[in-house]
Amino acid sequence: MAVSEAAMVRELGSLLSDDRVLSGPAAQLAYDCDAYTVDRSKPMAIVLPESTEEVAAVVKWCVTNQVPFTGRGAGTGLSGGALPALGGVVISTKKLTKILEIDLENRCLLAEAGIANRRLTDAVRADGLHFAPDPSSQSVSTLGGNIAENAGGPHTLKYGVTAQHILGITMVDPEGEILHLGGKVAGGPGFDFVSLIVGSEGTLGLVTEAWVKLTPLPTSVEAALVAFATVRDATQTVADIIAAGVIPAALELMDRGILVALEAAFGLKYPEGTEALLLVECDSDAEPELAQNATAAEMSKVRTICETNHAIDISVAQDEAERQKLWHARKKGVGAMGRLAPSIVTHDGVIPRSKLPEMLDFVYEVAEKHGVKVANLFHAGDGNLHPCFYFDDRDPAQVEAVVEAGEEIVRKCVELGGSVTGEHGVGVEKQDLLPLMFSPDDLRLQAMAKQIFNDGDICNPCKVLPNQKSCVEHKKRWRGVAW
Amino acid sequence: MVTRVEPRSVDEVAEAVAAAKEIVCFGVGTGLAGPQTAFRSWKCDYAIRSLRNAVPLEPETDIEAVELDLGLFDQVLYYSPSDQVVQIGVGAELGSINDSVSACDAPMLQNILAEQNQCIPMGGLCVGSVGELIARNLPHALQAQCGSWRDWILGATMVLADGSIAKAGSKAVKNVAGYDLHKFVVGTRDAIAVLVDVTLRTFPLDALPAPKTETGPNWTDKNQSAAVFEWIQRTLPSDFNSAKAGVGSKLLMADEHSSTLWCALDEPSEQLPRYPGDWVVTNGCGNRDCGDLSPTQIRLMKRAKAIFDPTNKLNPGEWGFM
Repeated sequence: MAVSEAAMVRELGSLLSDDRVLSGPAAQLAYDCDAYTVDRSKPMAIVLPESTEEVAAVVKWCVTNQVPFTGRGAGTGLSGGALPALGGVVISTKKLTKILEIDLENRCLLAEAGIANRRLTDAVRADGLHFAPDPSSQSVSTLGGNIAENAGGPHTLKYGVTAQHILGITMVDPEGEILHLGGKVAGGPGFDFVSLIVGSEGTLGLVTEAWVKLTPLPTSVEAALVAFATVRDATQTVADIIAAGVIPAALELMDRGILVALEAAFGLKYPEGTEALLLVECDSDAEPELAQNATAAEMSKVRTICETNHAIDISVAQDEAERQKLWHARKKGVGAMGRLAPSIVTHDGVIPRSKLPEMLDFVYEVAEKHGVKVANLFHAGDGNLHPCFYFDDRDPAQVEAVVEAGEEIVRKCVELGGSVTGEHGVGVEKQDLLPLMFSPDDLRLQAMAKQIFNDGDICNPCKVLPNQKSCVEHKKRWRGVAW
Repeated sequence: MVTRVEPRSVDEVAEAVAAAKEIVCFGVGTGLAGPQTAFRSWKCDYAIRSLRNAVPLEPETDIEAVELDLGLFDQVLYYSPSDQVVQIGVGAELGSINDSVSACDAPMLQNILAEQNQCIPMGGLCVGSVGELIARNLPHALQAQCGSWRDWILGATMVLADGSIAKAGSKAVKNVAGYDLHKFVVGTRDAIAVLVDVTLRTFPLDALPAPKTETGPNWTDKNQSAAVFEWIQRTLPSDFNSAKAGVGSKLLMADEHSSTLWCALDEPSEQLPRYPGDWVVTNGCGNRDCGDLSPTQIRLMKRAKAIFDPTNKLNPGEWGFM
């Protein structure tokens, strides 16, 4: 029952407006992947709805015509969550960017799903509040994308992941019905469907609006950059800090590969012999004087642990400007690697924190074995590692080596008691690796949950769960393959 | 008739669930009528009381049920203090932090964790097994500061209505692999699947904040261990003070941080003042407890139930309309 491109454009144009339906080779190329670039698939049309009702109308059209559809925010996802189905419709939230209501007294805010994460905090910073989840992509990644992937970030160690900050949602289900779940007051009786939707990677419907929790900005913050002569000293320090019961606001680890890139890109210099850097942040939102004492006390405990683990240098930021500079280095670390090689793949895995030293040793072994270079960035407090392989993707052998190395690392994560993904999601990237963690009965449990919302095969099809019926056929018809 | 089964292994749970026509779950044999157990449905309650008191069932209330006592599932299956992760059977009694009084022989989870300077950061009112507390997911006194079960649960093993055994989540404190079934089952009162063990994130005792609750005029120390909270209400912060004033002497406890009130009622069907956006849980579940559910929620809950438990075997009547 194939719909022609002309018919699709005409009919979707009549539901929205002609200028908000894109098609043709240039547009299809622009939307053929997200930040997971090793897999590409051309949609037939891209729509830019301006309201929940328009999203619902498009979904209903897709259901009637049995055309697959995929939601897309900023397209910064790293696991292929926004990879279109071949010949399907991409529903972009780029025009759903409004903040609809700010309720300061009740510390919540209602926004449309296409708004960039950072803009939520921008709207309430002057009132001493912020939206706590801070993925590195936050200046562009959208609320809807953050919800789909249950985004993390450096401050989730203390403040929690996105799921803990979503109070209620408006979504369009795979049938095109508009649903309201949860609300300003969280935690009520009944089944918690919001907790199924957050992290469901756009496979249970499209979130168009959400009530988010606002968190008080800290009244006191201290950050320090600690240099270690060996990676093991740094990873042991992280394990010791957590074991001591300290919960820093952030605990980020960078190894030599990142330092070299930062020096090349920004001229940042580190003490001689540094093999690993640990960025630690402590904060408190108590009254300023109490808060200052609390953060100082925490930072003091952290310093002692660092010294016990042979830190070669501890620099504490003396003011806000210096603190921002420390973070700038961390947040731009991955991009800075562009100085070292044309391409980079940032892998994502999780292990129990106590296994960090062992895991990092393994990452270096794997990189050497496959003849690829690696730099490591970690949300070390959560055991969430991001080995960044840098290479030249014009050489297919290097691409293959990088993908294989990634798979070995993920297998090791599961072997050590962790997970195949800490924050990037399963998407298409890790779909076939889920059986490492889950038995057929475990996967059937998840399929049953999916069925509550999505009993068909056109809402962001063939993602997350492996071996879905008809996916083999769909993969031939609907997915592109990188090589 | 109601028969009682005390399985010793997950396979025995699976067998019992697969074979039964109706399952009524009961977590810990402490015998305390704490606030959690007070919120069981009339049907479950009746079944259990009839079993305990050997009272014969009236013909019109005859149910053929299996009472699944998971009290034997109280072992620590895995505990890594340095990773702050513990996996425990649902029958384990939680206990209150810093309270060494236990009504049963097995050590309470809080005591086991306290030896490593850790805890589950639940404020007061911790009567019941881990399984019961998770099944009902009622508010507690440290909720605003430390979150609650959906924030602490990292994984779970459960038995489905057809007797199959499945697990969700992992032992990692951060994990986005697949759908979060372990979070979804929290608060479902064993009506979707029977939980047998859970993996939880622990909290450092040193960092534990003090609860900032106030108690009402009729609060007694007896309330702490054997209270019957008949009405639990959460409002928007902006309505909290009015709500608190509005319940007057019926107030047993209030937590400003989470805008929650715990109250006693003069009689079961009494209604206290309501506020926009608020929610209420009352004693006796079943139909009376479901007034706050939206039509969307009810529709989705029925759909979930039809998928997971098509013959309505698990805790029937627990949710009234299902």
